[in-house]
Amino acid sequence: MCGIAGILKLDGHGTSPIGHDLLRMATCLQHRGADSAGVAVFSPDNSEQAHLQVAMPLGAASPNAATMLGLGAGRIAQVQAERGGFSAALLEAEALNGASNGHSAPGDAAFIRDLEESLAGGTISAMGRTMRVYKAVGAVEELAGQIEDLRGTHGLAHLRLATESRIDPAHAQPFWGRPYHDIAVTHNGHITNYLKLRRGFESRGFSFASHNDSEIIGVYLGDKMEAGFSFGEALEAAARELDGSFSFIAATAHGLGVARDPLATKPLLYAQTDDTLALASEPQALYRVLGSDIRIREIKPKETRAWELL
Amino acid sequence: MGTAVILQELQTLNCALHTTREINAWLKDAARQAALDGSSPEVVLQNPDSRHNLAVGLMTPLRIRIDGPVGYYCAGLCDGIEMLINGGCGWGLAENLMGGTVHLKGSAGSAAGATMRGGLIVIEGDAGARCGAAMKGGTLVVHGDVGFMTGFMMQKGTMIIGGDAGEALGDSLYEGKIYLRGNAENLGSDAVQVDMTEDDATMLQRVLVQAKFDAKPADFKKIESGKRLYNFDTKEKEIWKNAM
Repeated sequence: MCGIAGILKLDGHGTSPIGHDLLRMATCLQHRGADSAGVAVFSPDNSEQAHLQVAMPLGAASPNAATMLGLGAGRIAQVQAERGGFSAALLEAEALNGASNGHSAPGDAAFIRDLEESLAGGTISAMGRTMRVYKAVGAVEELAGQIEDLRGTHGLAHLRLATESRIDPAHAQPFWGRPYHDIAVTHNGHITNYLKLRRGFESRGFSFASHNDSEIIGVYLGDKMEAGFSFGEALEAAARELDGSFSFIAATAHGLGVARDPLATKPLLYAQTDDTLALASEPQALYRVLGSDIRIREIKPKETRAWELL
Repeated sequence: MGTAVILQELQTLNCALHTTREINAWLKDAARQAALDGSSPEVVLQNPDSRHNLAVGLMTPLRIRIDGPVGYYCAGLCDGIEMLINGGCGWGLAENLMGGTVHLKGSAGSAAGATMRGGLIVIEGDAGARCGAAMKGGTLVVHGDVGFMTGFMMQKGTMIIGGDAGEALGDSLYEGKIYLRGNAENLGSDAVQVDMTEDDATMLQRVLVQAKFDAKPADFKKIESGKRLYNFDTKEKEIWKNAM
């Protein structure tokens, strides 16, 4: 089943309580999946320097600080322990982030592979300037302490009911669209042509953090935007090329977007006020953050849509 | 404290304070009590907060008002209830309804009234995809629009749609009648528009009043099965292609 949610402050106000709002939305969607939970929060306050986050396998300790600084060929600094892993600043961010559309980070694919090889099963769960991703196995309340006070402009949440692939932090959503900076996706459904698409990406040198079909979506969107597609065009291409059942919300540094498959067997509702857009699998999550006086609408079968920050 | 005892004290239940199982047991007790003493009380559910599976499996008459939005499968598998929902609902409203009425003031998610066998469902807002799929009887009235594949494999019963319909309206329906006031993006496989008869107009007039829907029978068009899928030759590639 899975529960998905997203919220966007349309005025681009970076001090909005996105973490608090996502927590409220996710809490009332908890019954849709309790195997793992996660959120992605986008905040322009983080944008000075690119950073990465690492999720270690369940029960595995992070390497100690001295070891970590030696990892990644001297390109990571300011290592900080996080629940289930660590985060670090990514040096030479300007050079790495020099592509025209702001999503790409040339050379990161090799960097990611080398770093993960030295992490004893740890995987990079996020990379970018504005995006932070937090995941936990179990219910969303596991994340409450970490995300409650996060501020930003927009974000995503996911409650997972696992139907395939492992239950661990690497297979929890939202998935980062690796190796592209600041792309995350929260997905409800199954991508049935996942293996075919994955093999195509792997033959081009892409790597994946999990064996979960949902991970392909963000990678696909990042690849299209790298090739010059707008966010909206990338969503349209995804809706055409992905096979299976899907309702997903994607986020970039600039906004949120959605797509739904032609049979629309996975729900996705949204409502908008003057300053806030909210999306969720079920209406109570929208009422929680927008109040009861809202008009709730459904994303239609085959529909794609993007909302950009002002 | 048994639920019957609670009922003697209350005709209103605050859902926020109870599990779904407790709420449904309370409703069942209320229906049983009403049958025993021949009364027809109205019971009220407050704060439903889009909860799933509310008021399911009630097989004896009861008047129920729900103040707020409900989740999936509300009023599923019921017979003889009279329900008013002051809000919207999720998927599968009154699935397999056997008899009675369910009146929704808001909009419904997918598969509203799917497999219903009897009774009347009225949706004042819009309904999502697969509305009235596999209907086997009864009457389903939607004041607004309906989503795609509405009336898919409908076998019997009457559907009245005040707004527009999405793709594949009435796809592969066997029997049953669909009355559409607006336009359909397209009709499904073997669904055809036919002329309205006087009997149709009389029936519509009666049901529209019952459904508190201010509309004229003359504004509707009628869609039913072309019956080409009842029997067909496997060599008829064109029909196969459309049917799939």
